Amino acid sequence: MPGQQPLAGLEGILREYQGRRGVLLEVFHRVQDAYGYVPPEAIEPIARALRMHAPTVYGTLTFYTEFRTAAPPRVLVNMCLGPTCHLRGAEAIRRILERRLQLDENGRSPDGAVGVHVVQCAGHCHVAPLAYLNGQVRGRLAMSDVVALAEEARFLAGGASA
Amino acid sequence: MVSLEAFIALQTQAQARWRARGESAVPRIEVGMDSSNQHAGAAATLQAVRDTIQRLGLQVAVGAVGCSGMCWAEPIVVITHPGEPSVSYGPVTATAAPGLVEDVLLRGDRRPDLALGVTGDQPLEGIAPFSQQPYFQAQRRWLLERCGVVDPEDIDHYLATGGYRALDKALSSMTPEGVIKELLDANLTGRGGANFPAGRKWDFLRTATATPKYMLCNADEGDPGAFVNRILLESDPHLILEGMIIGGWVTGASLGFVYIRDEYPVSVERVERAVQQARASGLLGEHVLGSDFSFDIQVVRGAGAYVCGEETGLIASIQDYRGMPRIKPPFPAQSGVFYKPTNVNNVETYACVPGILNNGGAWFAGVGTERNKGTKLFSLSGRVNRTCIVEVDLGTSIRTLLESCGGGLGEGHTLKGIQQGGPLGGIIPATWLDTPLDPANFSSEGTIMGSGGLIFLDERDCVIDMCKWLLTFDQDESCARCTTCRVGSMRMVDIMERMTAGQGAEEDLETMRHLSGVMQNANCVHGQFIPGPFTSTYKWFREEFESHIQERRCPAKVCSAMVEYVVQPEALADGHAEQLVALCPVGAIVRDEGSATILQHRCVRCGLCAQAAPEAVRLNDIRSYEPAVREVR
Ligand SMILES: Cc1cc2nc3c(=O)[nH]c(=O)nc-3n(C[C@H](O)[C@H](O)[C@H](O)COP(=O)(O)O)c2cc1C
Ligand code: SF4
Ligand code: SF4
Ligand code: FES
Repeated sequence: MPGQQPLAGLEGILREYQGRRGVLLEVFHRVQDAYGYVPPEAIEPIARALRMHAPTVYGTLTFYTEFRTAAPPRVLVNMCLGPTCHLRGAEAIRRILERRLQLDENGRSPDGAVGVHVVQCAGHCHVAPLAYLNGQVRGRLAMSDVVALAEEARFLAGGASA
Repeated sequence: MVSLEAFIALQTQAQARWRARGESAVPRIEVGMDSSNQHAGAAATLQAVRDTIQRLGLQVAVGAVGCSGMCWAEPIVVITHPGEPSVSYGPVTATAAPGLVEDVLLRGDRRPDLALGVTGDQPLEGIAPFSQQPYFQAQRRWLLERCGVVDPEDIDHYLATGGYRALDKALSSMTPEGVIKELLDANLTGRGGANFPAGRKWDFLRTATATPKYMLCNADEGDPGAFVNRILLESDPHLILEGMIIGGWVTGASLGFVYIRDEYPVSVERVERAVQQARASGLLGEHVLGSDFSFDIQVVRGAGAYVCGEETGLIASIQDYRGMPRIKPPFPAQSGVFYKPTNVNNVETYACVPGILNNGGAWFAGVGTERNKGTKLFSLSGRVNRTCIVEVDLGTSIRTLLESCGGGLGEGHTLKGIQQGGPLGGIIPATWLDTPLDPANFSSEGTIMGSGGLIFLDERDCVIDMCKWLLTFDQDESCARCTTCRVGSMRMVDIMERMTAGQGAEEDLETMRHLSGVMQNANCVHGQFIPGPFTSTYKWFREEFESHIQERRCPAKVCSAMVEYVVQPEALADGHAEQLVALCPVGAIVRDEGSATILQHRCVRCGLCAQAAPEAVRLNDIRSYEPAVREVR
C-alpha cells in the first residue's frame, strides 16, 4: 500500500512472525507498543506476513478493547470503574473529570489532547478509587483531589486551558 | 524414590545459595515488589531504602519479595537481622522508610509501632508473631506458602523451598495414571468457577488420541474484585509452571500456554522470566530433567476481553480469532487450540498439583467439606477494612474471612450483602455470614461461589445499583455472537437504568424474570448466567426493588437520579455560602440571596458540599420535591 511513511519498522517486527499461527495478539501488542496504536495501514502487511485474510485480522483487532486503531491522546487518564472503586465514588469522579475537562462522548477534551478512558478492576482495590495518569497510579482519590487531577492532566497536555 | 540426577544438581545448588542467604552476617531488607505493593508506592520505598543505606554507609543486602496477601498494609518492608526471625513492617511509605531503616539498623529500635508481625511462633521485643494473629490464624497457606517470603524472580528460592520436587517425583517414580489417581483421591476440582474434577479432565486429555496436545493455563482472571490468581502469578510463578509441566507429562502434551490478561503486566513479566529460568535449568524444553519428556511453555498476553476467560473464547483468542465462545461439545479435550486436544485449567488449579503429589491425595482431601476438598484463595474487597488475599480451608465461614482476615467493616457500619461469584454471580445477604464457603452451598441456592472474589457491601450501598453495575458489565462484555445474550442483556440494562432513575414499573420485574428464562438458551455460560445478578438480588433483596419501583426511592440514597443535595439556608453559617460555591468541583452551587443553591442539573452528586457542611447540606429523596427542579441526567 502506498503512503506507508508512519509504518517504518513494521517489516522488522513482522519478520519474526512470518507464516506463524497463534501470534496475532502478540503482533498487535508489538505494533501498538511501537506506534501507540495499531494503524489501519498495518492490517494488510500483518495479514500477508501471517498468511491470514485481512478482514479476519481486522475483526480480531477490533474485538479487543485494549487495541486502539487511532493515535492515543497526549495525556491519557485511565479510570477504574471496578466494583470497589464504584462503591467509593468512581462515577462521581468520572463526571467531575468530564465537566472539568469538557470531555465529549468519546472521553476526549475539545483539543483532543486529554482522553479519559475507563478500565476494569485489576485487583488494586486497596488503593481504590484509583486512576492512572499517563500510566502512573493515583490511588485513594478523594473527591477533593479530582480537580487537581484534571488540572494536572491539562498541564501535561500542554498547559493551555482546554 | 530415587531423584533424577539433574534435579539433585539443581536442588543442591539452590539450597547452598539459600543457606548462604540465611547464614549471612549481613542484615537483609526486602521490599514487596509485586503490583499491589507497587500501587501503594513500593518502588519509591525501595529507592528510599537504598538511598538511606548508602547515606548511612550500612552493610545490608537489599532484595525484593512478592505479596503476602496483606494488601492493606502495603508497601511492606521485611527486615531480617542475622540469626533472627524476619520482622515485617507496613505500610512503609517512602517518607517513613529512612526513619525505619535508621531506627532498626542503627539505633536498635525495633519500631513496634510500624511492625506488622514477626515470622515464627515467638514474639520479638513486643512484636507479635504472625502465627498468633487472626489474619494468619484463620488461614492454611498451602499455596501462599512462599508468597511474600521468597524472591519470585529467583528460581533458586523456589527450588530451595521444595520447588520442582513433585515434578522430580512424578518423572522418577510415578506413572501418569498414578498422578491422576492422586488428583482424584485429592478430589481436586477446578478453581476457575466450574468446579470440574481436574483428574478427570487430565484423563480425557491423556486418553485423547490426536497429537499434538496442549496444556492451557487460564490466567485471564476477569472477574472484577477477584485477584487471587494474580498473587500466584506474581509472587510464586514457578508453582504454576510446575503444575503445568506435570500435567504435560501426565497427558502427553508437548506445549503449554499461559494466557494472562493484559491488565496484569507484572504477571506477564514474572511468568516470562520464570519460563526462561526453567528453560535454562532444563525444567522446560527438550528432555525435561534429562528424561525423555519434552515440554515447553508460551506466555500469551490477552487484550481486555472478559469472555476470553471462557475456555472456548480463550482458545479462539490464542488462535488469532475474535475471542468468542462457542457451543460445547466438542470440549477442549477433543478440540482445543488449533483443533487439537487441549486441557484448560485455572491458575490456582495447577498450583494445587505439586502439593498433592508431594503429600498425597489423601492429605489434600483431609481438609475441606464433605463434598469439596482442599484450600481455596479468596480476595476481600469493597467495604472491608483490610483489602486482602487469603487462603482458607473450603468450608470456612464468610464471617471468619470478614472478621479475622479482613478486620471487619468500617467503624459503625453494618453488613448489607456480599457480591460473590464474579459478574455472573450475585449478591448474597448478610444472613450468609455463617454459611461455609463451599461451592455446593452456593449452587443449591441457585448461585455460584465463583473464583474467589468477595466484595462486601454495607448500609451505604445500594444492591439495586450494584445489580445494575454487574449487568452493565455483563452486557458490555457480551461477545455479541448470539442475539439472546446481546439483546437480552441490553434489555436488562435498560430496565435497570429506568428503575434506578425512579421510572421503574411493576411489569419490569415480570420482564426481567421472563428474560432470565429466555437467556438460559444463550450459546455459552456467559449469556446463560447473565441473569444471575438479577435473580439473586431479587431473591434476597426484593424489598429494595419495591422501594425503587413503588416508592421511587433509593433507601441507601445511592442511585443518583433519585436523590439530590439541597442547601438548608437557615442552617448555613454566615460566610459559608461563599465557601460552598468555591468548593463545588463542577460549579453547581451558586449564591442565592445571601445563601446558596444547588443547580441540580449540574450537580454530579460527589458529596463534597455535604461533607464540608453536614448541618446545612442534606441529601434528600427527589420525590419529595416539585418536579420543576428535577432534571435527570
Ligand atoms: C464468561 C466466562 C469467563 C470466565 N473467566 C474465567 C477466568 O477468568 N479464569 C478462569 O480460570 N476461568 C474462567 N472461566 C471458566 C473457564 O471457562 C473454565 O471453566 C476454567 O478455566 C477451567 O479451569 P478449572 O477447571 O481449573 O476451573 C470463565 C467462564 C465464563 C463463562
Ligand atoms: S452467550 Fe453471549 S458471550 Fe456467550 S457466545 Fe453468546 S453472545 Fe457470546
Ligand atoms: S454534591 Fe458535589 S457536585 Fe453536587 S453540589 Fe455538592 S459539591 Fe457540587
Ligand atoms: S475496583 Fe478499582 S481497583 Fe478494584
